[in-house]
Amino acid sequence: MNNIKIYHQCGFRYQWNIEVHKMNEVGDGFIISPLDMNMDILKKIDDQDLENSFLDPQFYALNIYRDSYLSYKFLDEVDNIYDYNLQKNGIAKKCIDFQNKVSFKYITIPTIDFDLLALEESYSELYDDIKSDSDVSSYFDSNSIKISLLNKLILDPFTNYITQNNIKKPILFTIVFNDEMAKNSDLFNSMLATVTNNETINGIYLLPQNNRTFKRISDINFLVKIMEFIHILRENDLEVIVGYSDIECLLYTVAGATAIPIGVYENLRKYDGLKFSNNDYSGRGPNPRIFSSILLQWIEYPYLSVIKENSDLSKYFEQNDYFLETQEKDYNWHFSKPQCYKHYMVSFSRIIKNLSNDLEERYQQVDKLLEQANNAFRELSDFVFFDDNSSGDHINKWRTALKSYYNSIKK
Amino acid sequence: MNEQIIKVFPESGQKVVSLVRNEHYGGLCIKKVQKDVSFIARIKKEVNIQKALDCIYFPKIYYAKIDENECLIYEEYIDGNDLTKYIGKHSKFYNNETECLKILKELVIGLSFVWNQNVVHRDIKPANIIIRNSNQKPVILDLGIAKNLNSDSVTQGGMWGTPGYSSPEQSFNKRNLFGKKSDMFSLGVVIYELFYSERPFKDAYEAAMLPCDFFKNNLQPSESFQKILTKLLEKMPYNRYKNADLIIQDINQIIGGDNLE
Repeated sequence: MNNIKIYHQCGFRYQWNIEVHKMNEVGDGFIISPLDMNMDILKKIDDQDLENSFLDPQFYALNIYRDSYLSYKFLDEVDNIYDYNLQKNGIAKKCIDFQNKVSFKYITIPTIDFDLLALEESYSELYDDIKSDSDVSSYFDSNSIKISLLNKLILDPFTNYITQNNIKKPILFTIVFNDEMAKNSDLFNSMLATVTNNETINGIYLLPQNNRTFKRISDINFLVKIMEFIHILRENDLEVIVGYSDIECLLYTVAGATAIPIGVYENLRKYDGLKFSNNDYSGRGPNPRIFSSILLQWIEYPYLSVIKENSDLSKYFEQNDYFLETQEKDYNWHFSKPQCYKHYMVSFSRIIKNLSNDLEERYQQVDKLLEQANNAFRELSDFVFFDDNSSGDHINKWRTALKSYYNSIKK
Repeated sequence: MNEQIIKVFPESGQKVVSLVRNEHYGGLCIKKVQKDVSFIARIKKEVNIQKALDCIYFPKIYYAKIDENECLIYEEYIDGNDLTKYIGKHSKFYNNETECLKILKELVIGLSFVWNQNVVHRDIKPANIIIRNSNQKPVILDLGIAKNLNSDSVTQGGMWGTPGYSSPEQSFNKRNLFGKKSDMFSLGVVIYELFYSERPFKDAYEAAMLPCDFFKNNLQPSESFQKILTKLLEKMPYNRYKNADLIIQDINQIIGGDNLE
């Protein structure tokens, strides 16, 4: 078994994660979501499990008003970034003290998703303040101001408190890696310099955010850049715990990611800051899908009967108990039923745990898995015509990204 | 307070530095006075850190008064020569990997005390490093105040440093890339200069663009020595060493010794 950790990205159906963890011994710990798990729920989790878990403080939009979140009292007097700025030192203290007191493995420094706040008046004021700060010259561009804001609002108050209070737990810092970071080398370099220069940070809780048309990320540049980002963090001896991601985590492991997430619904397998804002966020109930460990894709369930008629489902789907339950007569497919998600957690974890510890070998293994997926899609193309979200269109793009990343680090 | 001025160093701008005898501070000490101080909060923080360090690699600060009108500091006088006197073919560092790595190790240990506090020296150069006569250990000068008190230290669009020793991010005002790893780059330049008696790059553009020439002056250091310098002199800060401990581990592999605790 390799040393890649798998964390349950907890959400609304965190019970399913706990069940799979207990029944199937899947997952090394939990990423606790205050949005979905109030303090009372947290208290019911075994200490032993908490010791392998950490909290996502979810400061992304600074305006969650859900009761479960408010029970943590991190941002209870904050409506916007202006309020936050005035209270940031006290907030940092509360957030760190809480995580230090509970037996979590790490303390997570949150981040603010500035893109979510760009239209807020109070954000513009703060942005202008930073720009005119006497210690910050006017030649700064918007990226520099973003990094300065990150330092002023997050890193300074949190790391100062951690240093002054001699906190011993390892520290994670949250970064949202978005399309802008993939495209803009100044922002990419600045973020890396900021975190690798900081002695307090031991690891990164990395949240990939790619605006995409289809369910699978197929932006080659984005994938190459995030892999390079992970590689550089690892070269700097920082842990990289990926959050809110799906099958593409396979690629991140090749770059050396130390941990990857498994989540239930799609909104836990893809970062979307809006989920953490007070705006009405209603993820539409998706068509039920099930994960294929051979095709490396979530397949819409009606295709299964076509595959079954023409081939053998066991060639494409791991035959665990959860999958077999979906094959029972009269099984009523619905996205809100647990079997598909539990099947995914078991099946995907097995793939991850079978990867080599040696990164060169891991690269070969993942490339082989992708090649295998390509061949399987080719076989199936004789009798199945997949929709864009069930097809294998992403596979060649992932292979290209993988090769491109591999070449870039070999230079 | 009874004070005797022994020597006044050449004046530059608003600053006055003198060697004084002041029995209140145990005899000889350095007195620094600067008018019109900017960045007061940062200077105060860094002076406080230096006061608290109690470390042989930095002069002790006996007294500091910093406000918007004046910065007055009394600090330990270090009896010794600065590293500029050790540059040249006659020097014990010239073409001597072991001596160069020994002093690099001492400097890294010294700087690790401030890096651990997320503080950056910003102006590492031979003139700011004195070899103490009594024990031949290096002492790093002007932490936090080098920006204001050194004549050849210049502000570069808000950043501080000395041309020839500054990292690319300092030279090109890439403030978001600046941090403790900028000191690592300057250390790389200093050690290269001690070994070759010449700096690795002619100007800031070379420093930002060109790889190091390790075969200058017909010298050919070992690959392990080159590896350490290459890592210190990486163009992007995140490609330099992650921390002091890793530098020392690499040095110890060549010259032996204990790692940082």
